[in-house]
Amino acid sequence: MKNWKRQWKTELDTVIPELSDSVKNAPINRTESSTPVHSTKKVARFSLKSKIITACASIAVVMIVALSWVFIPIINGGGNGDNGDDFVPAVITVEINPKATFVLDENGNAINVVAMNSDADVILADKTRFKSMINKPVSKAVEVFVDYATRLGYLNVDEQDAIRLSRVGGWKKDWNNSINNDLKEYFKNNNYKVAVLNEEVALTEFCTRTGVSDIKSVSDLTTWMASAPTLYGARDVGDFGFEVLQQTYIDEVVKTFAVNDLSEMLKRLIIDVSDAQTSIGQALIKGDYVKISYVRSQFNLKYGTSFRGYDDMLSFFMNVTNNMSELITRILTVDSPLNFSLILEEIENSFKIDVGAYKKLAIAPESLSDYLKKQEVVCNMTFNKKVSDNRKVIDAEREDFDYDGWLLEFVSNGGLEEIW
Amino acid sequence: MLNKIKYLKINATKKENLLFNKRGSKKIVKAKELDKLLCEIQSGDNSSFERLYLETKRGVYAFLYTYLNHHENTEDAMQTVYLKIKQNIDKYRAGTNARAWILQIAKNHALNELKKSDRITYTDNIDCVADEVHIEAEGIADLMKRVLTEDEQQVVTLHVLWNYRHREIGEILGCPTGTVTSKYKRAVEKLKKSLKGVKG
Repeated sequence: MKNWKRQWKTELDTVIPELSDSVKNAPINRTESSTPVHSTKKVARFSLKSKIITACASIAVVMIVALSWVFIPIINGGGNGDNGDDFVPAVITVEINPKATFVLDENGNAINVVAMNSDADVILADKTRFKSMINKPVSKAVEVFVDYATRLGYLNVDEQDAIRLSRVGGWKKDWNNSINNDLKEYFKNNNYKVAVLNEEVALTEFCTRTGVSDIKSVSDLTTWMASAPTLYGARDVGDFGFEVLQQTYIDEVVKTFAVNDLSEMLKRLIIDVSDAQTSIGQALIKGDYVKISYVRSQFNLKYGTSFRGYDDMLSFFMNVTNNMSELITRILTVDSPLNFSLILEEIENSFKIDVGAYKKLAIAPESLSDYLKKQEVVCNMTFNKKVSDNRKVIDAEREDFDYDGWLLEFVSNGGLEEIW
Repeated sequence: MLNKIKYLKINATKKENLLFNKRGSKKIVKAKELDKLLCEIQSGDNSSFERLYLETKRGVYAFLYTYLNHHENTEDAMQTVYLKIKQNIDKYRAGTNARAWILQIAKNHALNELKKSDRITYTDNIDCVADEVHIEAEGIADLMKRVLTEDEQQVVTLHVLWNYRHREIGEILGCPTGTVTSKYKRAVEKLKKSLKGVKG
C-alpha cells in the first residue's frame, strides 16, 4: 500500500520546478504590517458552527478492550491513583470531534464536564443532557457523551472510526477498566466499528490535547474547570466588547444559521407537500379517509399548521407549490435581523406555519446574558436537527460481526495512526 | 513532549507500538520545524526560505494541483505562493499552525486564479508530446485526477504529504472525522484498484 505513496512523491519530485531566481532573490518583508492577516487578536465567534453538518455515513464501531491496553503509554510520575490516602484529582478528555473534559471525585464519579470545542456545546447546552453525565461513574458519563455524539452523526458508524481518551491525574485501574468495558459493550451491542485509543499522558501533553494553557498541576486544572462556564462559546465572550458580540450574533446566527435552517425547513416542506399529495391521491382512489386524516395531523404536528379540513389542506399545498420557492430565494438574501423578521411575518401570515423559534433568534441580543441564552437556543436547535437528520443511520439494521477480530486488523493496518 | 511507552505484552506486535509513537513524534517534529523555519525567514534568513521550499514543495504542489488541474498553471502558482510567503512573512505568528498558514496562502491563490480564469478546468492531456512535464505512463497524480473526486484528492494530499491526521483534516475541511476517514479509505481503494488494472 505504501508503494503508491512513494511513487507519488518521486513523481512530484520530477515535476516540481526549482524556485525561480526572482523568487529566491525577492526581499523578505520584515516590516510589521498594520493589518495582520493572522493576528493574535481573537475574532469573536459564535460558539456554534454555522455550517450545518449533514448526517454522516453510517459508522461501524469496534472497541477493543484488551488491545487498548497496548496503546496506553505510561508516563513516569504520571500518577497511578493508588497513592495511599492522598487524593489526586483525575481528569479525562474525550475526543470524538466533540471534545469534552470530565473531572472525577475520589470515587471515580464524574462531578463536572466542560465542553472543549463548539461541537461539544451542542451536546452540553441542554441542562438535562448535562445532568445525565454528572454524579455518575465516569464510565457511564463517558458512554452517555459518546452516545450523544454518535446520535448526532459525529462518528462514522458504518465504516471505521476511532475516538481518543486522554487521562491525567490520580487514575485507578478499575475506573479505566470500566470505561473500556462499558464503551466496548456499547459499541458491540450496536454493531459499531469504532476503536478507542485510551492513553494516560503527562500534564503538558494533556493540556495540549485538551486545548488549555497556563496549567501547572492537575489541581490547577480541576480548579479552573470548576469555575469555567460549561460551554466553550461562553468562555471568551468577556474578551470582546458587547457591540462585537452583537455583530457576531447577527452575522453568524441571524444571517447564516437561522437563514439556512429556515430555508432547509421550507425545502423539506416542499418535499413533504409533494409526498403528501401523492399519498392523498392514492388514498382518495381507495377511499381511505383515515389516511387523509393522518396526513393532515402529521402536517399539523410537524409544521404547526392547523388545517380545519381537507379543502384547507389542499389550499395550503397549492400555496406552497406556487410560492415557496420564491420565498426561499428571498430568505437566502436576508441581510439584517429586521428583514428576517419581516419575512417571518410573511410566512406566518401567508402560510400559517409556526416560526416562533426563528422569531426569537431574529432579535439581536440586548445583553451578555441574552447573548448566552440565545447561544443555548441555537445549540439545542442544532442538536434536534442533527439527531433527526441522522436518525435513519442510527436506526439502520446492522449485522453482527466479530469486532475484536476487526479491531486487531484495524490496528495492525495503522488505522489508529491514520485518525489520531 | 513524547510519551514513553512501557510496552505491554499482548498479542499485538511491538511494531504497532513503535510505529504509533514514532509516527506521532515525526508529525510533531515536522510541525515545529516548519514553525522554526518561518521564524528564521522572518528574521531575514533566505537560506531558511530555501529549506522551507524543500520541506513543503511536494505538499504545496499537490494541494494546488487539486484546484488548478493543470501542471503548467500549478508550476506558476507555486512560484507566486512562495513569493507571497516572503511578502507576508511578517504576518505569521510564531507557535501557531505553520502548515495551515502556508496552505491558506496556497488555497487563497488557487481560488483567485480560478476566479480569474472563470473556473475553466484544464485537464492535462497526457498524450500531448509538447508538454514538458508529461510522463509517459500515467503518473499517480494524473491517476488521482482521473479516479478521485476533488475532496478525495484533498484528503489524500493533506494526509500523505502534509501528515495531517484525519481529525485535523476534518477541522480544515469542515467535515466530521468519520467522513474524512471514509473518503480516505475509498480513495485508497480506488487507487489500488486502478493500479492493479494498470499492472494487468
